[in-house]
Amino acid sequence: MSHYLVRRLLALPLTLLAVALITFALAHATPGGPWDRFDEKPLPLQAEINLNRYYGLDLPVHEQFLVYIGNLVRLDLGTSIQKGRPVADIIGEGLPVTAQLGLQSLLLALAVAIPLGVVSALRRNSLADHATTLLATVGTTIPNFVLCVFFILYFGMTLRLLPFVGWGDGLDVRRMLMPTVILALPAMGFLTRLVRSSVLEVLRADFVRTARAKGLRERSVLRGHVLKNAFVPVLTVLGPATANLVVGSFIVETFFSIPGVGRLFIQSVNARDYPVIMATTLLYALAIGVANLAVDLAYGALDPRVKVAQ
Amino acid sequence: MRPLALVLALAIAVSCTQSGGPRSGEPDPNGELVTNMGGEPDTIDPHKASFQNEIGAVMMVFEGLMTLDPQTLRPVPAAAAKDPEVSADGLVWKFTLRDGLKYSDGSPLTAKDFAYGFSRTCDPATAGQYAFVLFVIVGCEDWNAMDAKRASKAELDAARGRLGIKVLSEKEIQFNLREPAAYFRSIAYMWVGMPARESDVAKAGDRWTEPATYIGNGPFKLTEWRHNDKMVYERNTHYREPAKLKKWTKVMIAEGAVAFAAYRNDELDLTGVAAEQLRTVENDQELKAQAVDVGGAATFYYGFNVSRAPFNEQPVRLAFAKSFDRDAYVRDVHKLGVPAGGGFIPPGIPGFDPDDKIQSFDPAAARKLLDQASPAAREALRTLKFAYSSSAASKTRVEWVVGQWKQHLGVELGLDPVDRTAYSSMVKNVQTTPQLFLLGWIADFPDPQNWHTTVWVSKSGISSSRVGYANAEFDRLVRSADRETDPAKREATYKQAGRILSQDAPAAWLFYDASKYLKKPWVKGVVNTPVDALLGQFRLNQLYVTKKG
Repeated sequence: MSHYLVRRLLALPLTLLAVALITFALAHATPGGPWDRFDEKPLPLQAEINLNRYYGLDLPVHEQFLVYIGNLVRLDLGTSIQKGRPVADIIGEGLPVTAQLGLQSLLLALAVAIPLGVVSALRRNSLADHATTLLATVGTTIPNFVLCVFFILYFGMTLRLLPFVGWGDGLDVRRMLMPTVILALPAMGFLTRLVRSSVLEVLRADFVRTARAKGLRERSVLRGHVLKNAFVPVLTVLGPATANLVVGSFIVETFFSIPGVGRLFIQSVNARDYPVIMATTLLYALAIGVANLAVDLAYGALDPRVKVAQ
Repeated sequence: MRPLALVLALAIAVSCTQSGGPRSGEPDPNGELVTNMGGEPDTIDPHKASFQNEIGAVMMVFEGLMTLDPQTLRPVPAAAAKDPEVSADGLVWKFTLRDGLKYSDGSPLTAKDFAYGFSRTCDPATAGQYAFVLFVIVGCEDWNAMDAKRASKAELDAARGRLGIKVLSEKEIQFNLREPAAYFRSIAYMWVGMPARESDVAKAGDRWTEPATYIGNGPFKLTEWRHNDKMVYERNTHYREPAKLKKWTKVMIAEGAVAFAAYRNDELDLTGVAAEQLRTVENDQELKAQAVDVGGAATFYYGFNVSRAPFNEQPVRLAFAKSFDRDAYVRDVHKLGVPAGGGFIPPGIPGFDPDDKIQSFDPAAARKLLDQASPAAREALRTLKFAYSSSAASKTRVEWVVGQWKQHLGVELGLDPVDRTAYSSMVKNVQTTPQLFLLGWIADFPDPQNWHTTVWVSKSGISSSRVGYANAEFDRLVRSADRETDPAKREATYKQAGRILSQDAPAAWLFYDASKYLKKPWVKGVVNTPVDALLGQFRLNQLYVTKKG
């Protein structure tokens, strides 16, 4: 177990290095540079030269990469070209907000999806099952921006029940309700379907028949055999889903004016803000890496046949 | 009570408590204004700022030597006590400060602080985007061109020493210019010369623009900045004429539709109106009464690369310029804005020439002009493509005019959408600029020099350098107007140059920028100018909200 963990943890920096190299090369190969976002007013040549010197963009690209990696090892993420502020500051302000929103949404999605999925699997074609299908369809098919507009118009403007501008201090439940629910809905819909189908599959498995045949009570069969096994596929998708939610949603953050990092991804690419492109991509890669590792470790706990130690 | 009835009852109760309530006309000494600044400004460092929202944030907290009269947009003294004294040869400018100037923390403000502000913009280590407007000061361009990382300290210090900015006394600052420049008065209003305090910048480095060290001499002080969320300003009690507002919160709502909803919910006192909201505003009597129209300081145009066929021939360019209906464009396509009807400089900006009808819509005259095209130009027209930055707005603008040219000139053009950033890098120099493109110019300061000379003077002009436009007579006129001290003569010379420009048609003027915003009835004392559109820069201390009755 500990060998496995050490091996996986050692592989993580190598993965990140590969991601860094690919991202750096792609970002610099894309036409246009950080000073090309001024449609009407191109920068005067001298200003561009000075800015390139200021941000070290006057060096050959491979040297820029080495400088970047050197700084990264010292945990220096550089200065945002667009904002002129340390990238660590920018991410440090936004990430807690985004992560809180993402985790809340994930917990909400799980809290609804697991019981609903199980119930609809156990009572197929019942009212609960149909309700689940409806929720799953709505959650996965209606795009975020439509939900944002609908929620703001209805709950924010018509009923005036909930505020829809800003995040406040992160403790105001009324402010957080709409964005959390909207962000949770697609995951909720998808997870409910997944739990349902995976419970159904396990219910038909031989070991469940055996468990029933040896006279176990239905509740024990469910708890000890069905649910535990049904969660393996759920766990598999939970890794990337967590990473996705934690690094944020561009659309929900924009509509509800939430000061998170979700917007940074798109803004930095459009602005060719190389240090921010690098930092956000590496952050995402790190989140995926850590979430996948956690999921792999959790497999062992759910299914004794998975031996992580080898 | 059934759940739905309960929800409705709650909704009514909540909406009643949120209504604005009656207001008296008196200014509220504790008044607070809430406006939207859209996205977060990239920087609020006065010596690095370049976008309008950045400059707006600077002007809340800092005041320059001069400011602009909101009615005429002519420069008038601000931190300076009076108009500058200019030597007979126009090369030496002396500004005298008002008595008792202070920063918002109560510490004194002297000429040395202004000298620091101006020189920080010239300093290559600052890498400010607007350094070029100060190149008229002796030594600024040479120093700015140095490599701040590789040049020795002695070399940099020597260059700094050659800068033509001198502190004569606590209250007097002198600028030595390398050529006479009547427009330097306007430059003295700009953010590039704001008196940031050297000790604050030295103490906090890149982070000096945070509230603790962002100390200025303007009507407000920045008391809180929650990044990507809001900026909170409070009255600077040390300002010579303290603001009537106590507090001004600028929230950051990036989505226009959400800001509009927040305004209707009384969460914003003021908001811009986007084209898609115009119909809602028109159809709502209350909103319609709250709408305010403001002119802008930008001109949009279809540009021609004059170094490549077919637009290397002036008659072809003018034919294209005269064959689209600008009134129809603004009415049917753009909705906001003013049809270009008088040269490059828009109305409201000094130098506007309403009688310049050279490019006015005249399909018959346009066809005659096109008949003069050479065989090579005709050949080039057959494969001509219109390259544009692939946004929805540009697509509409381009598709519309391509239809007009087909209808009025019988010319069929292809469309060539390009990624926005890639497009900006393409139109930078004459080798890569497409034959036909769409651009605009937004003024830095309201003086014809910043339009004609900055944009179109041969070789070095911002647009002439990308399209290869050059006209010796135009250059001679604008250069003489730049130096001219008699205002009437100066304006007439610029207008003469503007006519040459319209006739040469390196670009076809499309429309002048204009905007509309909504203002709650309790917001008073608003001053609108084309330069700052939505409450940006002038007489902010006069703004107030009325008392709740």
